[in-house]
Amino acid sequence: WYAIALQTSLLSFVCRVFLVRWSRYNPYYLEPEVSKEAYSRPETELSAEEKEQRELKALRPIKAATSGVSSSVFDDPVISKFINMMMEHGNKVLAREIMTQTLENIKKKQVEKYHKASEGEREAIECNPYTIFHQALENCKPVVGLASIQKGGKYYQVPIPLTDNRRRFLAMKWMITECRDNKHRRTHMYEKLSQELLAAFGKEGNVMKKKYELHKMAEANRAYAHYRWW
Amino acid sequence: MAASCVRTVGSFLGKCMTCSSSINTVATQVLLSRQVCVSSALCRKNLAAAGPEKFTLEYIQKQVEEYEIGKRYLANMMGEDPENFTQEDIDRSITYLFPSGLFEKTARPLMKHPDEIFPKQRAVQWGADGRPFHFLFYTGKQSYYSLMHDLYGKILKIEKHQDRLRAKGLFSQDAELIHFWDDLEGRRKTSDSSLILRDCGSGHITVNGQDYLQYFPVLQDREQLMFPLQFMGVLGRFNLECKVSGGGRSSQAGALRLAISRALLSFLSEGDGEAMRQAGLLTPDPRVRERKKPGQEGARRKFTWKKR
Repeated sequence: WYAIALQTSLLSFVCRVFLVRWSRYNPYYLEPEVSKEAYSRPETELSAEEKEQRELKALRPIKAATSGVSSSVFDDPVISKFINMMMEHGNKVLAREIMTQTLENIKKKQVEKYHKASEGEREAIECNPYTIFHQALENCKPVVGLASIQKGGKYYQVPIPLTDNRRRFLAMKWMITECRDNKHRRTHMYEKLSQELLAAFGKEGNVMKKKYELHKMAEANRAYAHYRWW
Repeated sequence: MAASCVRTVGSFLGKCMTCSSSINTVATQVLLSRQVCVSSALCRKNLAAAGPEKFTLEYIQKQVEEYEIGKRYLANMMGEDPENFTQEDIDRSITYLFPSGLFEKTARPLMKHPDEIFPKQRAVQWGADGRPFHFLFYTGKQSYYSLMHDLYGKILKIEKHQDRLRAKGLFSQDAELIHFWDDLEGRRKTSDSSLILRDCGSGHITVNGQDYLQYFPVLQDREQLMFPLQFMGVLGRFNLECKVSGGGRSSQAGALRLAISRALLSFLSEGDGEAMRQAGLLTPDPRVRERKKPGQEGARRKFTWKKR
């Protein structure tokens, strides 16, 4: 049994080389563009590269749109991504429910604050939960990250620039893990999430602390920045 | 190896040479005699390259005459009317006159019209000068393209007729356009769906007899149903009557979305159709469940790696 297991593990290692990141689509296929506005813009408004992109799209086959996206005004790609990350064991219904409850909760709190505040402060209070969510996520995004690079037998934590996708992913991941771990047994997820999001909107809270810690580490390891070769 | 018969042309010359005393008889033999190797393999006809057996038109006509005469003869023999002797009567008579106990029905004696026995030949498509008869011969699919050509001609005639009616004021626009498909139109994972789209409606959607609000309690599925309609801006215009089966709730919604987008194509302009294609509404989703592989726990997950 050990011999078979070894063989299969070897086999799987061999197969992994060319099968592990395949997709059911031919690489020739392009991503779909779902928003309606992209198609209503006339020819004159486009720049040269956008025109090229349009021509390419007219010739190439396009992948099917996933079931999470739609062209409705209520559909937000960032929120869809956040829901997918929150989802466990494929329970999209529950994840979406939590998200809607979170946004409702944020709105409730902000409206309460709005009614309690005096005339001068009322303009400063943001009531739209979507803007609060986006702004909170923006505040949580780290600017630099750390990579473990081996040099001369030792591993150094080297500060590296991060791509947009990576930054967004880290912000969302921190938010979700923070809300899952550091909450009281009896508080609901949406309750904790709304608290954290409002805190992040005001640039305070545990997630912001985590981001500042990462920045401090990167600042401390500035000396090793030249170890990065890309 | 095929036995090759070697015929030496001018071998008698060589013999003459040997008769007369000349030096280098072998060399001269080689020079003068020309060996012509003709193997029996070459003599054999290449049957595969010849193609199906070809019968001339005269031959088949002769066979048809013989068949007609034989039919009348058979009718007279059986004592029946030769004018109204059908193929069934012929078969009956043949089985009576030539009873055969063979199990293989095709091996029994038969008498049929030569058109049924001899294979139909493809009529020659070009004349003696090599010019083809049909004007679309060089497209490769002449019958298909000629059909499309005729169809287009008919469409133009219909449109002209429509214009004439409109000029007279007899043309009314309130005909209800029904897009009706009975076969399966949308597929996703293991779900299949078909639908009837009716124009000039109020936006009602019925799925398997139930209201869509009842059938799809989840908002995401209803969003997927509405996606193509909202994208084109025709939300309240159509009435949908859908049938869907198989799969789970999400894949049923996906199948219906594909069916709706395909059905909408016939109601919209080409530019809109192109926009739908670029939005990814018209591509059938190829993602299906990946099979579990032997030696692994799931499709991708491996068993726990143990060092020893």
